[in-house]
Amino acid sequence: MPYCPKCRVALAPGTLNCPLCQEPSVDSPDSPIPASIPFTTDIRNADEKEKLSPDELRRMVFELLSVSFGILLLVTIGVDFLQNHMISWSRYTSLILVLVWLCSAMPLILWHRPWLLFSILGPSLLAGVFLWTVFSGNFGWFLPLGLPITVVLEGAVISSTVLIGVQTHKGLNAVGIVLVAVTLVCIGINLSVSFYLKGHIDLSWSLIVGISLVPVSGFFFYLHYRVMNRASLRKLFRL
Amino acid sequence: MMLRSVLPFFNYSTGWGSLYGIYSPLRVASRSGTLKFMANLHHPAHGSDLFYPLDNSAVFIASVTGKASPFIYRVSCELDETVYLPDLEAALAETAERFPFFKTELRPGVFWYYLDPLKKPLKLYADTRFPVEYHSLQRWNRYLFRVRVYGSRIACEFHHILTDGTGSLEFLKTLTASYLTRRGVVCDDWQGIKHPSETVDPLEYEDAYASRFRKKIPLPSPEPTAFQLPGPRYRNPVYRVTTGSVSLAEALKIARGKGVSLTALLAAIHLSALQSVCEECRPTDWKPICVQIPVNMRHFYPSRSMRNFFLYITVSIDRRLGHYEFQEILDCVHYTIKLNLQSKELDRQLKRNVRGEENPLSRMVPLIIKNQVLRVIGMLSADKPFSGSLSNLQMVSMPEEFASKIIRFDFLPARKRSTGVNVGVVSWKDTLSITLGSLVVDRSFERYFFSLCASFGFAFTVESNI
Repeated sequence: MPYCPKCRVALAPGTLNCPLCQEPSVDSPDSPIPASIPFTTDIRNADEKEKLSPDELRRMVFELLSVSFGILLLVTIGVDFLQNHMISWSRYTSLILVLVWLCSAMPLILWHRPWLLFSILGPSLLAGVFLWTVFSGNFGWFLPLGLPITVVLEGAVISSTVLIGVQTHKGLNAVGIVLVAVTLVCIGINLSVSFYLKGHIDLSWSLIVGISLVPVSGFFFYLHYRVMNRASLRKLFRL
Repeated sequence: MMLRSVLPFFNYSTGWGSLYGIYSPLRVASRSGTLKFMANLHHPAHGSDLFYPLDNSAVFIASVTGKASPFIYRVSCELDETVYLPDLEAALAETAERFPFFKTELRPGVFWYYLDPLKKPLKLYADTRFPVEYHSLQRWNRYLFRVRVYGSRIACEFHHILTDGTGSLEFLKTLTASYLTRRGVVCDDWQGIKHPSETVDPLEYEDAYASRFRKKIPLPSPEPTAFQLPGPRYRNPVYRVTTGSVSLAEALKIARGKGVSLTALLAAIHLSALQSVCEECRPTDWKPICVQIPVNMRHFYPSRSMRNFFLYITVSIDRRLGHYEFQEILDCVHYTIKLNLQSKELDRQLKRNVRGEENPLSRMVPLIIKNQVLRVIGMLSADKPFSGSLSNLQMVSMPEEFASKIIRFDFLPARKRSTGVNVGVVSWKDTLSITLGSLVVDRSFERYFFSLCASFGFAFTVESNI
């Protein structure tokens, strides 16, 4: 049996150094130590076992959303077809319904695979915008307006989600990240629209948004990292 | 427990103590009469928003703790065989789950400190020659207690913010019982020791002070500045620990022979030793000699709280009246304890400490200002009314199956630069263990203390780390 000559404690078989003082262990002539007796450490409320697990809950909500959107899709297409004997306006509602379903339901089943989720939603949203231009018959605004705005929006969502996800303690820092992302999206929209309308890049209203939001997000970062860290407002401001 | 010494300044004429009452759900609850005793009742048991407001003692301690008064004390036990580290690690992990309010770190809010649950794995630490050293609270992400091991000794060092002697002993008993069970000891009836598989009772982390507060009673009288041991103090981390062990039956026989309790006899010996040092080193210092004796309030008010719930009584002699013979000191101590050990008298102290809750303005003072004010008050006057303290944790008991594997228990009081020496007492089976923790370089106090004990027939075995 390994033994620490400095701390004078018996160590687990195979231990070379004492975990307390790092002193090399020596063999002890002590009698063998009986095996450990396991203990139950379960002190949870028994009622908790009756509740759905988060995964089960997500799967249930996914199913509900899918059925609801499916019914809505069929109803709008059916009504459109009955009225016009062809698919006309329901193309737009169907496209919106599919995109909303993708954005709301897919995160539920791909909760643990965020990169797969982004790789499905990113191209899907771009395809959705492209299909809208196809349905409307006006391709002119897709490349200068639709594509860059969608890419900026998706980039902001993905990067802010990743950034928030990697934070060990999430709190006001998440709000700060979202505000910075909103600023970037506004700048992207402003640049695209000005280029589309005026033919040159012109920062105007997004600059005001940026000047307003960036200091606020900075204040949130300061509050989070210097004052609150991982505390909730309830803990911090208890009187 | 003797660390309560700073609390007399809590609500004195300065009124600053009123800053430090706790406004907690408990108080709201007790006013409404619907909920009682729970400091954190509406919090989900394992929610991320869970936190523990500090109890009334801890609020003050958190503000004034520092190198001069680290407020860390230690309870330890010695087994009959070498500790097997893997089993102790496992026992610690499951014991800590049974005491979730100890698995916390101290964090500052805007108005109050609070205890925030900490998920960091608990570690065992190697023991040191100079225990209960300063433990900075400014470094977050650390527990307010640690378990140290040496040979067959398991020692728990607790910050007083977390709990008092009773709570720490309960933790040590559970840890030891859990460890011994893993080592093959079979015991079906743990006889009141908290079992790791039990559900945690929320009443165990109530702020027991707040619910026992009586508003319309007078405050206790202020205490005068007391004599304190003179001479240089050791520099950190040196702390002289002198432990004397004696037969409990023999000690009780001596105390009963004098018609007093063991605590009264030891307090009288403490006062007498201080008087001897004073007459030798500071013969013209006429300040009174005062020793504080912490009182476990659970004896007066039924409470399951594992957090701080103690007050103290002060026994003193007035040096202006001349030299006191031992019998005179013993009479003073005996009757002072009798007079003050009444719930009505203790209620006055409780009111002094908790009344701050009544002042909403003081609650709204930001923590950063409260801290500075309390530190200044602590520096100017907090420790002055006491010459030392004597904490008696009384008899520790465990089921025979476990008891047969435990040789002794010890209690080491916290360091305190102002008083210099403090005394901790605990009894186990037939052994009375008296531990003197000293920062004073000169050993006169220990010499007088144990000489006096020996003169009464105590056959002490004394050991020291220096």
